[in-house]
Amino acid sequence: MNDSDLWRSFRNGDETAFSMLYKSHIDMLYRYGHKLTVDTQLVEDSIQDMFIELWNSRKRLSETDSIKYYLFRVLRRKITQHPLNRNVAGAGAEISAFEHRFFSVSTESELIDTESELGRSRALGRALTLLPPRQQEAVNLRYYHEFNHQQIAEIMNISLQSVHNTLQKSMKGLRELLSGYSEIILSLLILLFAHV
Amino acid sequence: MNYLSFEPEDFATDAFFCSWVLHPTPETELFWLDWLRNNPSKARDIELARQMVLLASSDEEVTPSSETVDRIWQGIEEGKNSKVIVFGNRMIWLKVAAAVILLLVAFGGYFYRQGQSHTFHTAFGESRRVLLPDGTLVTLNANSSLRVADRWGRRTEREVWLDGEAFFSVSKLKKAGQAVKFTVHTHDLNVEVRGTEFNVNTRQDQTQVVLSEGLVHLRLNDRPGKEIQMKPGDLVDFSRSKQRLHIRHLPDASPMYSWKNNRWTLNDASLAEIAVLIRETYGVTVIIENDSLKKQTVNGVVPTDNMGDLLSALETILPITITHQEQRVTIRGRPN
Repeated sequence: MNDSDLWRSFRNGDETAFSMLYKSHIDMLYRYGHKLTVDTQLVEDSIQDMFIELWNSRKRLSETDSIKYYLFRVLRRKITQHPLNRNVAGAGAEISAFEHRFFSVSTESELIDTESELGRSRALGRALTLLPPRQQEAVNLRYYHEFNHQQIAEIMNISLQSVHNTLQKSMKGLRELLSGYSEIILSLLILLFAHV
Repeated sequence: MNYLSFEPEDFATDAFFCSWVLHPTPETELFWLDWLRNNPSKARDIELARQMVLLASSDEEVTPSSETVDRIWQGIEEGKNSKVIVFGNRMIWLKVAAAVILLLVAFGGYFYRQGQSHTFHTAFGESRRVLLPDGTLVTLNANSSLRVADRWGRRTEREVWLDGEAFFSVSKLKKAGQAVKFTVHTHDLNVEVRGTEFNVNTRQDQTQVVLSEGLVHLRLNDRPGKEIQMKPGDLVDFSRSKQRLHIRHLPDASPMYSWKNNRWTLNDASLAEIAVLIRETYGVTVIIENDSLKKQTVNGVVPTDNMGDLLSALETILPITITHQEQRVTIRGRPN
């Protein structure tokens, strides 16, 4: 069943479709929610409220061919505008600063351990978390969830131009972070040309 | 598209380039390899851009446990079957709840009986936020319970009873120009405030109060005449059974309640102390096999969203191996 059909069945009051809607999206919604706040309870409550509201207002909803896009937009609004989120944002900033300090030791030891493929990819993966939160979110929506720029603008409630600029800036940032790994890149280049 | 003038970040933000990296098709593969052969000087930039896209498309795999997925779904099922939830916005809900309470009061308290109350419980490993009708936010830690008197509409005092641990963010409330007192009762003492933030912990046969901001008065249960005034950063321990009172001032009190954001901030915490925290939070038995390990200390912030993450964080900090079987967690030394 494609998105439009599933959405239509759900709007007609089909409970199975509703439960499918939930099951097929819960993992990515949960993951995206955690990009927006450190507060697990807030993420869970917001997802729950969102689905309850969806069900109760199903008759008033319009058609959609991307359920995921629709749900992301609603969830983001719910979490960022939640009255309890005020304090959380401040606390979150403090915590990630803490974590950064805390994890810096292990990052260092991983860098030394260049023999370990796993250690290297972990250290690289952490590079993403060094970007500012807004850039991280835009990058996550673009490259992981593969939304287009227009959709990202709608989800994050910013202009199309800001999406372009944010992504461009993020990639510049990543480029700088990656430039420390010239060795890896070279080895991959060889692989690439061997393939050609 | 003139790709020749492209910098790596331009490639990485180009939709056609991204689609090749993330979902190569024979066509895109042909195009880019061909382009590379014609522009070998760009090979390094292309590879850098490819790495950037691959990195950008990664994500830490935060996945809800199947219990969490079921719990949320259960909440949805309950919510959609009850008509009241038409108000999705909790603030409206609150106003409705407050209006209903006022209405009940206006009808002469027929509906109220002495001692009527509502109790919130948390299971091991669960924490929960409770928003009280006056706007006060209570974060209830694992294995705790909070009893709330239902008579707030009429009385000039707000009262709750706590067993376990909770962080209170009390909203200021005035009635007829008078500030309304908020009281937390524990088996050892009463915490009286008007509008402030503080943490109360009644575990281990004592009550510990840490004040984050504002002003707090403590009244010890068996010495009603004695009142202790607390200032921000103050920590008070009192045990009625042991008749012990201990007052300290902390330069930074926030580590004492970082649990409410699913983190423990450990400052020279010994493994033995951490074991007690784990037992209280997740309801498991913790065994430290080697006595010398008990004194090992930890500094830093560890995640407590679930016990598995916490245990693996501890394993990376200390030279230990932790095994978890059913309700038993065993900590052993790890040979270097």
